[in-house]
Amino acid sequence: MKDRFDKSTLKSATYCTFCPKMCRFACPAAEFSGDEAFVPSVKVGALWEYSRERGDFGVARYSFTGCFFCLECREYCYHEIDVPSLMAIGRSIVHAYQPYEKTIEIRKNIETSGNMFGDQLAWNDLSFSRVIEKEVVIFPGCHVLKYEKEMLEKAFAVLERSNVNFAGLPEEAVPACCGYPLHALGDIEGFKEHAAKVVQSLKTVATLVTLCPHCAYTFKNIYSSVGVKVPFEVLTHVEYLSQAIRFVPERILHDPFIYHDPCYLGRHMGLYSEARQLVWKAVDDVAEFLHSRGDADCCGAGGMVPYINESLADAVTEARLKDVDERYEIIAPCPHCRLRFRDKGRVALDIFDIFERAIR
Amino acid sequence: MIPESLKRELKSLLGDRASDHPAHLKAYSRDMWPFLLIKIQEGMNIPPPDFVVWPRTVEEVSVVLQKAADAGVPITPYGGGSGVCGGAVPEKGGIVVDLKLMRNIRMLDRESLLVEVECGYNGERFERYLQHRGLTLGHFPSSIYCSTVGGWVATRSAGQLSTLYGKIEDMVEAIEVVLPSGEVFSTRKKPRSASGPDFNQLFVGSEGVLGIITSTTLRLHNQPETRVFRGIKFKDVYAGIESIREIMQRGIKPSAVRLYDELDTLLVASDLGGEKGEKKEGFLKTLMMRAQRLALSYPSITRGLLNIVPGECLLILAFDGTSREVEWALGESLEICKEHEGVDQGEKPGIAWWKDRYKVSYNMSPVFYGGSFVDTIEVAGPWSVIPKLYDEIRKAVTRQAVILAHFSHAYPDGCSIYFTFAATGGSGEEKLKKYTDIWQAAMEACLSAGGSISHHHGVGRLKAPFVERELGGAYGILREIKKTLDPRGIMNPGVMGL
Ligand SMILES: Cc1cc2nc3c(=O)[nH]c(=O)nc-3n(C[C@H](O)[C@H](O)[C@H](O)COP(=O)(O)OP(=O)(O)OC[C@H]3O[C@@H](n4cnc5c(N)ncnc54)[C@H](O)[C@@H]3O)c2cc1C
Ligand code: SF4
Ligand code: SF4
Repeated sequence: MKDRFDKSTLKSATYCTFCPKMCRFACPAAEFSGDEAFVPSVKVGALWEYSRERGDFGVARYSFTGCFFCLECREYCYHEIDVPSLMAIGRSIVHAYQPYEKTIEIRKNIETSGNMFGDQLAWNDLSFSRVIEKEVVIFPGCHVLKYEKEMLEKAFAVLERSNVNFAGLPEEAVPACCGYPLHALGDIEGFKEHAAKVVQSLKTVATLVTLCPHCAYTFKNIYSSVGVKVPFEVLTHVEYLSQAIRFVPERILHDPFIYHDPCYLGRHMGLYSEARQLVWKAVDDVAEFLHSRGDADCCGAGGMVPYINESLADAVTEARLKDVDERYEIIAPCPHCRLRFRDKGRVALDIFDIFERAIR
Repeated sequence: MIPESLKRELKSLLGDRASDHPAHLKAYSRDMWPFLLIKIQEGMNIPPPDFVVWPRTVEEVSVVLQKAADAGVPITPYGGGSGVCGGAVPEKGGIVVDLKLMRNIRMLDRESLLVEVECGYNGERFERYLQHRGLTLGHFPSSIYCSTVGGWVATRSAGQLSTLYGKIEDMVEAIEVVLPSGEVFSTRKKPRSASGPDFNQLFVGSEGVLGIITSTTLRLHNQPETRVFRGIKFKDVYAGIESIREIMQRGIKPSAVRLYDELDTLLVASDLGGEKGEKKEGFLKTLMMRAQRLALSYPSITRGLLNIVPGECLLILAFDGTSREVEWALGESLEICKEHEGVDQGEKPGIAWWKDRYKVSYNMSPVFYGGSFVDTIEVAGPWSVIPKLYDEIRKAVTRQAVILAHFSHAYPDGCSIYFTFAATGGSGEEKLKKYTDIWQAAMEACLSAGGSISHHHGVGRLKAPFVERELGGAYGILREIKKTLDPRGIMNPGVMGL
C-alpha cells in the first residue's frame, strides 16, 4: 500500500491530516452534510493511515464517497494541496479491494457502449448537416447526448449562424464518453484503456471542442497523468465561442438570469471571466451567487458523487439553490450542473441556449 | 455504552442523521487538541463515541437529551471540533451531538442591529452572510473557517478585532439552550437588564457541560467606513507593552493590537515586511524546517542561539471607524509609541497581516510532518502582572520547548498573552509526557504569577486539573449548578473537571 505514496503525496496527505480543518467551510461535502467524516483533513487522514499501513477500509470506503473533486478547498489552502488527486488515490484503493457498486456497472457500460449509461448515444441523427472544416470537431460528451439533444441542436444552429468552423465527431470515433466517470471512481486501469481507445479514434482531429468542462479537463490533464498522450488541441466551448460572439446581438435578453461557475470550468481551468463575457454580451443583467467564482459551491455533481452517495449530492445541490429565487434561470456551462439543477425543478441553461434565444 | 434499543429509537427518529458507522465513530473521536494529534501521529488508540446524531431542530435536540438522560448515556456537543483543549472529545463514549445541521438565520433586526442565528452556522459563512448585507459581527477568530457560532459561545471565544468589538460574550444578547432534562430554556432579548443575574453568561463558556446551546441572538455592527493599519517596532517587548497600556488607558480603541515578542517577530512577523525580515526568515526557516527536530530537541540551546540575533518587537495596530475617528486614534497612538522609542513602519506590515491573518493556523501541519508537535497557551492578566506572567511562563517552558509569544486582545486593565510552543520527543509516550509536563509547568507558572489560565480557548479536558484554582470559591457554586441542571452527569463528563 505504501507504494501509492510518493514523497510529495505523503507530504500532502500528512499536511492535511494535521491541519486544523482550515478549508472545511469551503468544502461543500463537509459544510452541507455537517458530517465530520467528509472534512478534507479527516478524509485525507483516512488515506494517510494507509501510508502507515494502518488504513481502515470501512472508514476509507465511506469517507472517500464525500468528495466532489471541486477544488474549493484549495482556494483556502496555503499549502496548495490538491485534495481531488489524493481522493483519486483513495478511490483507487477502494476500487482495488471492494469497488463501489456503480463502478462495475459503469465500467461494463463503457466497455460495451462507450458511455456510462449503456445507451446507444448518437449525435449524427441531428438535423445539423453543414461541415465546414473537418479538423475542428465538437465533442458533446455523454451527458449532453443523453439529456440535452435539444441543446445540442441549438449549439449547431448557433455555430452555423456564426460561421465558425466545426464538425461533428468522425464516424469512427468512440462515441460520447471521455472516461471521467471511471477515473473519478478509482478504476484507473479501466480509464486508461478507454482513454487510449478514445485518442486512437480521434486521431484525425486537430482541435476538439467539448461541451462539457469535465471532458475538457479530462483530456487536458487526466489523460497525461495516466500516460495517454492527447495529440489534438482541446478547447472548452466557452473558449471556442469567443469567436462567435460578434454575431450575437447585444443585451437583448432581459429575463432574470443568475450565473453558476462550474467547478471544472472555473477552479480547475480558470475560466471565470470568459464565460461571463459571453453571457453579458446577450443578456442585459446577470445576477451572481453569494459564493461565486473561486468560492462557487459545487452543484452536487462532481466526482461522481450522485452515483456513490446520493443523499450527499442532494444535500449539496439543495444548499446551492437554497438562497436562489425561483424566478432566476440559471446559466451553467456544464451539463452535469444543469442536470442537478433541473432535478430540483429549476430552469438551467447553457450559453448555447442563451445565444440561440438571442439570435432567434 | 449505549443500549441497542436507544440506538434503534434514535435511528427511527432521525433516519440517516443517526449513525454508528465506523467512519463516524472515528471522525468524532477527536477535536484539535494537540495531545490527540500526537496520538494520531504515533498510531495510538483514541476511544471513539458509540453513536453520532445530527439534529436539525431544537425539538430533536430535546428528544435526544431526554432519551440520553433516561438511559444515563454521556452526551458530547460537537460544533466544528476546532477546540484545542479536548472539550468536544467523547472520552467516555456515548452520543456525540453534531450541531452543524442547525444553521438557519432565524431573525435579522437591522434596526436594532441584532441577528438570531442557530448554533451550527459556520463562522466564515456567517460573517459573509452579514457582510453581504453591509453588516459585521466583528468576530474574527483564527479558526473562523473551521468553527461554529455555537462553539464560539460555548468557549468564550475571541476574534482578532476583539479590542474594539469585544469577545463573543460581549456580543450575546440572548441565548436558547436545551437543558440536560430536554427542557428548552431561553433568555429574552434586551440590551441590558437589572433583573437579577445574567443567565446568558451562565451558558456562555459552559463548554457543553450544562446543556446544548441551540441558538443565540448576537449584537451586530455596520461595516466600518474605513480600516487603517500601522506597524511600529520597539527595541524590546516591555516598551511595546507600556505603549499598549497607555493607548488603552487614554481611551483609544484600536480594533486590533498585536505585539510580537522578539522570536515571534522573527518567525511570524518577518513575513510582514520589516526591513531585516527576509534575512532572518531565511535563518529561521533553515532552523525550524530543515533542522526542526534537532532545534526542538535542545530548546534551551536554540533559544540561546536565537537570542544572539539582535531582537526587535513588532506592534501591529488597526483602527476601524470614520476617517476622522481613525485619523485621531492613529495620531494619538503613534505619539504614545514614539514616547517609548517606537519606530513607525508605515501601513505595510499591518496590511500584510490582515491579508494573511489566518495563515498562522496552517503552520501546525509542517511541524507535525517534521515529527514534532506544537500548541498554544493563551493566558490573561492585569497590566501589573503582564511582564511577570510573560517572563515566568517562558522560563517554565523553555527547558522543554521553543516558545514564542504575542500580546493581543487589549483592555484598559490588562491584556492576553498568546504563547506558541513547539517540541519533539522520541516515542509516542515520551512526547505525550513532555506535552503534559510543559502544560503543567506553564499553568503552575501562570497561576503563581497571578494570571488567568485561559483568555479564549477555554478549559476542556486539558486545563481541567487547574480550573478549581482558577475559579476559587466559584468552582463549588459551578459544581452545584451542574448537579442541579444535570443530576445524572450526562453532559460532557470530565470537561472542566465536572
Ligand atoms: C488553528 C486554530 C485557531 C484558533 N484560533 C482561535 C481564536 O483566534 N480565538 C478563539 O477564541 N479560539 C480559537 N481557536 C479555538 C477554537 O476554534 C474555538 O474554541 C472555537 O470557539 C471552537 O468552536 P467549534 O465550533 O469548533 O467548537 P468545538 O470544538 O466543536 O467545541 C468546543 C467546546 O464547546 C462545546 N460546544 C460546541 N458547540 C456547542 C453548543 N452548541 N452548545 C454547547 N456546547 C457546545 C463542545 O462540547 C466543546 O466543549 C482556534 C483553534 C484552532 C485549531
Ligand atoms: S487542503 Fe489545505 S487547508 Fe484543506 S485540510 Fe489539507 S492542508 Fe488543510
Ligand atoms: S475537492 Fe471539493 S469536495 Fe473534495 S475536499 Fe475539496 S472542497 Fe471538498
